[in-house]
Amino acid sequence: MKEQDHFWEGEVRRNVTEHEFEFEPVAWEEMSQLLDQTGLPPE
Amino acid sequence: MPYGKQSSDETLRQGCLRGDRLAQQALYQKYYGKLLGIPMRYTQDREEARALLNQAFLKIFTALPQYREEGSFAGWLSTITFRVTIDHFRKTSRQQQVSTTTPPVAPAVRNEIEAQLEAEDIFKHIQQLPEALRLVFSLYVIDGDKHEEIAQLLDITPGNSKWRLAKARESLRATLGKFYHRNRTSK
Repeated sequence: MKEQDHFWEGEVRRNVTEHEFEFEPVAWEEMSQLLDQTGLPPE
Repeated sequence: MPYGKQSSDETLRQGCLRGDRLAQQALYQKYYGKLLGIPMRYTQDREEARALLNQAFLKIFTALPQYREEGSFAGWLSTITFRVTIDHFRKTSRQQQVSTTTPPVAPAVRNEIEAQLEAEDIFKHIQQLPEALRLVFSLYVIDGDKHEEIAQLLDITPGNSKWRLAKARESLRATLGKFYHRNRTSK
């Protein structure tokens, strides 16, 4: 593989693995419903 | 007991073990942003990634009693998320269908060559690869697996893994590679 490929793929890897997505409240709503459906105790 | 992103892993873990929904929510919120990147690089969109991450969290909450403090807690969460993600594709076997004449991908994201490439743009480019190519690209380039390991994970041959990687690189080199090369030479 060319050195040039190593460079851009390294940059892609760094960006992808270090990125942190913003929390989405809808995600927890879906998760909460999933927990209710599967019977894991709510409290 | 109040929980938040600032709560320690151990505090959250103990709360989750008691089945405290607030502790579950705080643990979820604390690691959501970091863990979502795992299914995001294997799926075709955020909705599918979020659904897989939720399956991973379900597994995490269920498996918490088995967690032993060997290695980091964050690493344990990542490992479960990765396994759930890959298992999903192994079960569906959707990635088996790949045409040898897969056309080059023409990303529909904004023209990042002229703009600043954001991390989420990179995810979009990866997500627009055909699934069979995306899985191999992410396993090899992002997660550092070898072709023999990828072949075993996806039930393909190492040669097929190499072929898929070459096709994925061909597509992404025209966009991401071009961007990074241009940025590098302009500095």
